[in-house]
Amino acid sequence: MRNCLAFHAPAASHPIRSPGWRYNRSMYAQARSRHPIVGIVVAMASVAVFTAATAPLQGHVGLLNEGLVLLLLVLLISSWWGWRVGLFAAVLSNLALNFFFVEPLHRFTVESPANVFGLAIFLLVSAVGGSLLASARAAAAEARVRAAETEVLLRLTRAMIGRTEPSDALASLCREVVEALSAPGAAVISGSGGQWFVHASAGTDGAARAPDSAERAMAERALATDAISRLGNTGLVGRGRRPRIVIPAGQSRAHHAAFGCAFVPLHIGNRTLGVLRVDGPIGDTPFRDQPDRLLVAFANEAAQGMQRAELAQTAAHADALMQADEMKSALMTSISHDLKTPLAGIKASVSSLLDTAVDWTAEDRRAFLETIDSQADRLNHVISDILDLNRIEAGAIAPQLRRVDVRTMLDDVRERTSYIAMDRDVRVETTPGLVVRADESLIVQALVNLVENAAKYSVTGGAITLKAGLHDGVVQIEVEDEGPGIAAADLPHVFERFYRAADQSRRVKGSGLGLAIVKGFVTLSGGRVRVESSPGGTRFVITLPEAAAMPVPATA
Amino acid sequence: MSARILIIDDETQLRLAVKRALEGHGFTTRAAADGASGLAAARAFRPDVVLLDLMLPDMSGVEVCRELRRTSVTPIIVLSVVGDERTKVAALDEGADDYLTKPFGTDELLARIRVALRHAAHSSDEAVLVSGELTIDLTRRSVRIGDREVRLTPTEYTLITYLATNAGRVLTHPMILRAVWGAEYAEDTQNLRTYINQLRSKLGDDAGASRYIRTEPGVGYRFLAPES
Repeated sequence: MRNCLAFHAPAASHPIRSPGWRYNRSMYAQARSRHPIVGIVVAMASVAVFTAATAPLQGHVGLLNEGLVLLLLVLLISSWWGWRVGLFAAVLSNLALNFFFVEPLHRFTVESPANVFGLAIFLLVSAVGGSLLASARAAAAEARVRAAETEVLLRLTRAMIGRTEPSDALASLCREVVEALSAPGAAVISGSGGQWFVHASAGTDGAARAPDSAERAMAERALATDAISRLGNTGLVGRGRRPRIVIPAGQSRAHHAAFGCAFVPLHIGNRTLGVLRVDGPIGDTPFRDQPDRLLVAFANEAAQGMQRAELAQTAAHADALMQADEMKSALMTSISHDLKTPLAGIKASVSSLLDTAVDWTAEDRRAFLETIDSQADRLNHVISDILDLNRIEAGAIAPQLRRVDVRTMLDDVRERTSYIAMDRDVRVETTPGLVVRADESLIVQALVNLVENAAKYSVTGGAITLKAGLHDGVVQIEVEDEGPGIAAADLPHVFERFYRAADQSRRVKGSGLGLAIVKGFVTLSGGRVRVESSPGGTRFVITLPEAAAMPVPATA
Repeated sequence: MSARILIIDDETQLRLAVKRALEGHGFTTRAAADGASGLAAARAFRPDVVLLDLMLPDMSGVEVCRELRRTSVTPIIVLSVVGDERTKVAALDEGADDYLTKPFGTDELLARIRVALRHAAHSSDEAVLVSGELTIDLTRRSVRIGDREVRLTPTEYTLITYLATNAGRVLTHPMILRAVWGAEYAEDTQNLRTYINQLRSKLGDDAGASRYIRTEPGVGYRFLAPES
């Protein structure tokens, strides 16, 4: 019966569009009406009608004419219902010819040897012609199924390509299976014994179900035999956690039972990836009658897709490791430079002071000591930065959020940066009475870093402005300088550790840690920081919640 | 007349400390904070030794080295920091004579300056090179340790004379390979190591406590100047 169905694959053309399938439902309705029993009935009826219609002419028209009409009938039946029904029609037509049109009439005996020969020729031509026509049509239908298959696999490849996450790739696989077979659901499961997991699924909610014992057994059998295994009748009735499946109109229970629930093994090389479970009943698609070949092709394609995804993931991982490595060596270079440079000044001064060969004047001694003093401060600063960043990254800072008066805080920042911004005009502009909710020490340190940064990178002597105001319920604190600004290419990276703008890295010495610390401190304090820049200047903006929005503690 | 030292370094504190220390030791100094003013000072001041930092705001120390070498053979001592290895080697390849890693003591700096000055004073057309017990007679092509004649192959002889005529200078692997074997062998560091080992064993020199050829790790070799 299934072989027979195979020959009866839909003959009409099925418009296939991408993306998405659009099946011509009426064509499938026709296909379903081509049952062999129907064919046999049609064959008997048409021969009977022909015989009845031509009854008055019996014995007058000649065997050849009637034979040709019946031959046409046999060919039509063959092409529509296949060669078996065609053969039946040929034999039936032959008997009809013999009985009604060949002397002696109304008997199955034949007098003339010429008529015996004629009947034999008719039988041979109609049978062979019918079967040739039927197989040509079957081949055409087969070609269309293949074309549809190729289209579906291409879609799957497209859907899976570029997925670096294996789980994404599996989800695409499930979606494509559901769509291509018009199945209620599909899932990729793996495991052994009682422990099975669903990695990805698509379709109805039930598709994500954990496999029950019968399904686990089938999945294990699929893996053990490396072939598709089936659970018949699955889901015909709503049992346990399985979804209740309603068989669509025009689809037979027998057909559904034939598909059941299919388990397709998935392998990458020698490694077992899991099992693709496809829930029945599958819908009206070119693959309805031969879903297995498509499922195997899907499994192969999916394995390749998974392999690509895994390779991509490995490559991404290697890339990340390499970046971490580069980061580490950048850290080493940067830190060693920042630590050794002030040390060089200290060492040169101290070794000079210890040098007894020279009788240093009081002024010389004082100059050496001043160098030692300033370079020790600088060293301390670098070490603090490294430690701060380490504390931020290790999550070792517990911010203490309190009500902080913005004006007082900004004045404090100006005080602390007065020695750095010696030849600068550091201005403070703020709306009076602004109170934020923040960790004061963290925000002050962040602002000090921003002012230091501005002093280092902006035009010599340019003003640095600390501005604060209320915008949409959040307090904005800005640190603005007077150019030359940050290149657009550098802007997205300024808060990264050790990032130094290419054109500035030689002009200005620094660790590239300052802004990373700013971001860390502001974030810890519940705020945000962003940067805007133009050739006219750079503006760093810190936003913090206004304190009024904070519930006042009962004990306050 | 005291020797003249030009210091090119953008680190103000270090520059001032070094300047003061060298002046205390009787040198005449001039200081520059960037490459362009350093090159200008080199032309005007005509220093006997240049101390050159590798990381300058306007141009790299390697470029400054190359520019200086266009017009003068003044010894250049590169001041570098750990992590600058590549730049350091590039500067030596461009003709720098020596390097000093920051942080350094004044005594170490003075010693290097003395070696550089002595090297500059030795004209390269001397016929006999002497270092300790080692004597190289360039006219007779003979090498002796004390009274003992050392038998060298032609390549070994070329190698030792190249090293000895550049006594006190740090010579990078590619520099030596190019000078002795030719430009196409500039990468063949392993071959150079083999020859240096042969030379050392023939000279009775020990790699650990070298008297004549000192290894500069990762950079090259230095022939020890007499009395240094």
